[in-house]
Amino acid sequence: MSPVRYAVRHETLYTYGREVLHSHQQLHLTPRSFARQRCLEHRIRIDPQPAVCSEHFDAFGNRVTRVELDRPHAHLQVVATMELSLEAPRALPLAEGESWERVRDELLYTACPREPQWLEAMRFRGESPFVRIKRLFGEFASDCLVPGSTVLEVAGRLMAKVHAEFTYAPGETEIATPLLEVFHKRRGVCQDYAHLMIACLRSAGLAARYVSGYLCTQSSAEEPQAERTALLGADASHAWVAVFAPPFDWIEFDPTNNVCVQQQHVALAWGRDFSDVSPLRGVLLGGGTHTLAVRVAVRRLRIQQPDRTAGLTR
Amino acid sequence: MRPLAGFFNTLRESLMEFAAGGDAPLVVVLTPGPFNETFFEHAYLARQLGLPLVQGQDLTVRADTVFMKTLLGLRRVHAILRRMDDDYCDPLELRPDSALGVPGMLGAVRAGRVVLANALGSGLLESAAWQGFLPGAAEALLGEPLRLPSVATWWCGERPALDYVVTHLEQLVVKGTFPNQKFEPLFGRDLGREARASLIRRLRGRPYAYVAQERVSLSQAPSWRASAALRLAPRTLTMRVYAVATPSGYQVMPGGLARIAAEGVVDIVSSQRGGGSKDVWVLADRDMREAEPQILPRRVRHDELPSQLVENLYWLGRYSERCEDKARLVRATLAMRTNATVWRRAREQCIGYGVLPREGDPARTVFDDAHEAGLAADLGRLGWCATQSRSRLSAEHWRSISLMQRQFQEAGATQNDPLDALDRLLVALTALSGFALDDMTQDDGWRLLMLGRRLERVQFLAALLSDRLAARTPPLQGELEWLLDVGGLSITYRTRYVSTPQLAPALQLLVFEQGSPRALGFQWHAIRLALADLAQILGAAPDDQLDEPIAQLTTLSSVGIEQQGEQSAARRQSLSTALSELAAAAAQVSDRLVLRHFSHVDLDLHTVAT
Repeated sequence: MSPVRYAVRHETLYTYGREVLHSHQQLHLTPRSFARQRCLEHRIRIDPQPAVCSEHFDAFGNRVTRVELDRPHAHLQVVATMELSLEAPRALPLAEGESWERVRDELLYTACPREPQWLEAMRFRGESPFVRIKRLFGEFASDCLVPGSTVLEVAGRLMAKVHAEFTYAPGETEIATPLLEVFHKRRGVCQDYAHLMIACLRSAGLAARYVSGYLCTQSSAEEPQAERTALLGADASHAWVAVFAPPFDWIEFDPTNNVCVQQQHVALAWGRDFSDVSPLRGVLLGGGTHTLAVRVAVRRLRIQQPDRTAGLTR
Repeated sequence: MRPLAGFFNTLRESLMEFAAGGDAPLVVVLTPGPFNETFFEHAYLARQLGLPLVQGQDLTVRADTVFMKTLLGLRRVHAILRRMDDDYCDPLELRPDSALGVPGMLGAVRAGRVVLANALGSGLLESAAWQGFLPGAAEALLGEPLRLPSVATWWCGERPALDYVVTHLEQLVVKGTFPNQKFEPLFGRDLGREARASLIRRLRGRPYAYVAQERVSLSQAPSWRASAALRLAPRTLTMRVYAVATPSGYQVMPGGLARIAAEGVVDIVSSQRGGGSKDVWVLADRDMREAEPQILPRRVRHDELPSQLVENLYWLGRYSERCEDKARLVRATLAMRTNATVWRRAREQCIGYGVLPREGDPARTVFDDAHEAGLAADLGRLGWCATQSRSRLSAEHWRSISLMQRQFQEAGATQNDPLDALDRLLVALTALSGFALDDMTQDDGWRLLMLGRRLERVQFLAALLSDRLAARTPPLQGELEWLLDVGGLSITYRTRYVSTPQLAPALQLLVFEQGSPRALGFQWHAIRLALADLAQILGAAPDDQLDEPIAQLTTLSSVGIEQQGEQSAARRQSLSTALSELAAAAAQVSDRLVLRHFSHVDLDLHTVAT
């Protein structure tokens, strides 16, 4: 397989019941560039025009846009457009790599200096605002934790188990639904699936990240000449999991779809859980009640000039 | 004893030093507010430091710069002394459910536009886990051992430490590593077999979340208790000490705070388990002389009052006056019970104001704070406003407010004669107005407090008189006595006119008299001066809402309005109309004040995420 290109348009529209007098917003809407993905172009348009707009990198290396609106406004529209190139997936040797027990033990603190990638991984091993570590999760994962198996095997089994035992039920949970409630009801959406799998991995002592992004639902078998067909990659953003699996670094799994992440997943940002990478988060003065409309469209582009990309890489 | 003032000076000066804000940087003390169990300490600290005490809503971030909302607009804040937990400080980036923080604060910190003391994240140092590392850290960083030995501590996140803890549980106490962890300390020696096994499972499951410490015998001190058979008894205590970072090193407070356990000899002392706290002082050397006053750079700032504080002072003024008015009204009315006609009419008016109930015992309602418009409920509101503006009240002022409330509640509980309780309440309320006049700095906050008092009085008295004058018949003599009593002018009347009350002179006194602070005339005169002052400070045109009704009133006179005839009735009617317009205008002035200066405080902040 060869690299593929996507164009993504992510539109968020808040309509407020009363005027908002002032607001601060924090956007995680700039895609990352990393091993399997390159961001070729991206743009964020905000309406009304913000008083202040600045960018910085957060603690996890994501590019964050901070926005301040200081005039009364009745709506807020944020449109992020981006173009990306995704590398051809490498074959994943699930049975290779370190055993999960060894990685678990290595992730524990020792007084010796550690390599940077291990220090980085340790940040994703503990509890985070949306992901508690509980014996309950460890017990749920126990039959996936076959002694001696690799981290990737464990993650693969766990993904299959979460996918098999939970029902995808849009609208039944919201961001604030506690993970334990999701666990008991066995129903949720991609965020819940991802949080649950992360909770299981961390409860077993492994390091796991929450990845936010988009899914291209176009099947890979689809004719390439079906060019520029708008694909409503569902209608919102997607989320999945990355697990620390040396020597392969971080490997991504999508428990909602029970697939290893390959060429269909466009990553925006990653963090410990949703709270670190929420695409748009704001604090408003005024506003009353609001309605929210989110539209995400992912198009697969035909690659015509592969070498053009270098100049556009950010 | 060693004085503490030097420590507070150092703290303030260090903050000013670190806050690069030119000659007069604005430094504020940030508190979670009166619901926090240590709010008293925050208010005390702010008063000691002479810095504004602010809550999250008093601050706003614009373009990565922190501002305080003041009466005069936004004022740049250069440094914040933070008494708020790390994760509550900024709902934009930290806990989204925090209604206490300041959205955008992290951005301002990141941009280096504000100094936050202590720095965000320093809450981590509260973890007991560090204590295990202190001896090594002192050696590594300072090349010397700790001067004060640390309690032997094992952080279970270290494998050898965990092994030690599991095998020596008997002698250890296990605590949570993280301050926000809900884990009650467990003493190994108290655990049965099962509990012990369960604890070990927890330790192995998440070793880094637990810390074990050797059991130490805590210090004891003799403690005096007023109400116990054995008055002097040993009590366990722990001590909290303070240090401040200055540009030239740390300075330690020559004193501290002791927490004293509620029971005798215990292993844990915490304020959540009862007990109390006491000041700790350090004895000075016998021959230590009074320290020379420090020469400090003069930094003078004016009018740095958070507008929320000013708003609370405004309402403190209004509720103080409202309580006084209602207390007089009820007292005068209950005193008229023997005069059937006056009692009926006066009671009717009280019912109209919602101060007395239509049904039931009027005396009981006085103490019932479930009665929405009643005196007891308003006293509660007064107390709330006082709590919110406590940093501006002197210790005596505050104490007299709490004492007043306690006495009134006690009177209600013991079913005393309400007249008695009302008498005492009025003495206390009058003292409050004395505090307002003689005990407070006369700044913008005070101006608004006094304005609140005066507008309230005008609204109340003008409406009361207008209501009575609107009736077909002129007031009876008993009613005049009642009106003068409610207005607080009975004695003035008696000394001035040496006769039983008559309508015309009574109205002259209640409405037009400029020399008596209880009369409407005096009040409206003072209000107009205050509004003009305020307008000048704010650089705006004064609110002239009151001018017309006042002009209208001054064309009327109270001469010849006490007869029974038509003409007399018409005069009473036009006076009534003018008074009611005055009351309405006072209400409008108040609404506009609130809208113009405080409305931005009232709006809810909320966090929204996709």
